[in-house]
Amino acid sequence: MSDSKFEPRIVGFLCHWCTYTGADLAGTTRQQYPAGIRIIHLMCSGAIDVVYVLKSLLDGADGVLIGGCHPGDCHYQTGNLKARRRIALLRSVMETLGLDQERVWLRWISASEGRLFAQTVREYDGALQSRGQNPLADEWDL
Amino acid sequence: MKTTVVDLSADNFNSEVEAFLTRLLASDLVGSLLVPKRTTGGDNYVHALIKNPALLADTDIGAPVMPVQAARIISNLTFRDPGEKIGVVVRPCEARALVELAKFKQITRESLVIIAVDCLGTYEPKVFSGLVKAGRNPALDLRKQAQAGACRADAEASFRAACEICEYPALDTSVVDIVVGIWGVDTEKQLYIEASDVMAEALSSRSVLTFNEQKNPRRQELVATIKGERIKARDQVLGDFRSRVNSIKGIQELLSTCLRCHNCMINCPICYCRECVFRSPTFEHTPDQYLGWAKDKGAIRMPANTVMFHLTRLNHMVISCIGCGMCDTACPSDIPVMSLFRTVGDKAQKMMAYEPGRSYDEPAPATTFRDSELVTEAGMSGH
Ligand code: SF4
Ligand code: SF4
Ligand code: FES
Repeated sequence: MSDSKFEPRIVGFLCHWCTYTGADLAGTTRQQYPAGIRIIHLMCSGAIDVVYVLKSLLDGADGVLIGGCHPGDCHYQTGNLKARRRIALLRSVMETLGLDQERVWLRWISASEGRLFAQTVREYDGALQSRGQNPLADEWDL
Repeated sequence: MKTTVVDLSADNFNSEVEAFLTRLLASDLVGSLLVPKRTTGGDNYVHALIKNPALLADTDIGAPVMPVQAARIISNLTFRDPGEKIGVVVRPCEARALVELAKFKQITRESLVIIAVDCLGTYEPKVFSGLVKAGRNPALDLRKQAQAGACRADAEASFRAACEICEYPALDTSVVDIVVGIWGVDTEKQLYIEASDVMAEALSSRSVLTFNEQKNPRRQELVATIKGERIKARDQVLGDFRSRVNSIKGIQELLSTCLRCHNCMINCPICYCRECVFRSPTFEHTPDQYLGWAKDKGAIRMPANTVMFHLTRLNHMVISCIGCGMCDTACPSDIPVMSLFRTVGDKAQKMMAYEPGRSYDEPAPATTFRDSELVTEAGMSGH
């Protein structure tokens, strides 16, 4: 059913110590994953401010993937657990306002999990394919 | 908690309160008082920071108007230790905002003696002014009703929308030092006061007030009833509002007339940041950035990022929103900002099991976490 030409645009906010390095590993070990992801490098998932996630979505990104270290592995102790609260709040706000909260995912992926990174992007890409284009991409009045 | 009922020895309620505040100011418990005082124009009450007891004249602790949320003023006065104690007369929503601001280190709780007065509802400043100019005494009119039950607004006016759905018409002494009770109290004859044990001891040892331990069960009953009615009204209003804003179209309709003046943020007691990100260089874009966005979408609303401004403010502070409605009061376009914040806040606060203004000891949700929580809520399921 889905338009075969629709390539979801995903913005990935990835933490330096884990997921960003994991994404790098995915590349050097030639894991296949969709090219529609644009990666933004953060020092820690805890450094995410929702203003950037919102900007991505309101500008028309189809999905936002926030990647951090597994609990216990955060380089700054608990940045990832604080990020989880912030993202849960963001999704709650989105839900009340009828915005598609599945356009925001949070995942823990370590530096050695290149394969998991590739698999996650594939999975997200598939989920977004079936959701279709972000309707906000066509809204000028925001 | 200690209680006392004082039979009015002065001519009226206001004079009795003034006498109490005068004794308090003369004691070593406070060096100054922040109290609502009639403006020179006569048609408004604003908080005055009072040092000279003679200027306690024309104060009214229950004037039903809130031109500024006192928590904002108190933050200006105590973000650093002011070097003396300040006694502040506030309404419940202002006291609850103080609880939140204490968590963000925007006030010094130790520098304050907080006196919370039962709130009978408030009018928009222009409405209040109109009533006064029409010869009414809005404070007295409400106080008279408050003995019998719920207060009705003047026939020619209505209360602020926030007050109609406020579940906190009165506080107890868990987050404040002193409570002046008005609900269920015959204020033509009596003054009813509660104080925390520590404050009651301090007040009686300095002969500011004696605590005769008389209670007012009528007030408790009445407050519980009103609270129940307000919760019903709240659920109705928020339920209706939710169906109005649960789509991007609904949000666009809501914000259609937004001027982007930022008044809602500037007047919100919880928005304490000295520099809001929306007024910082982060949002000073270059011409080619705007043109680039316009090219991507074909067109963009200018000034840019209006929906984002409101969504960001929701994310940054809705958990601590105490529903005072100052945003409504401040909005020149009559956008129901408070309803938006309370609707979104209702769900978010429940998710975090957090009630803003309830306790100084509960950390603000954004500053803490539990080891395993919110996995589905954060969009982590499907692993
Ligand atoms: S958002 Fe509005 S109702 Fe909530 S605390 Fe701020 S001014 Fe009060
Ligand atoms: S006060 Fe009203 S018009 Fe001004 S920015 Fe807020 S919602 Fe928009
Ligand atoms: S350093 Fe990776 S989540 Fe904090």
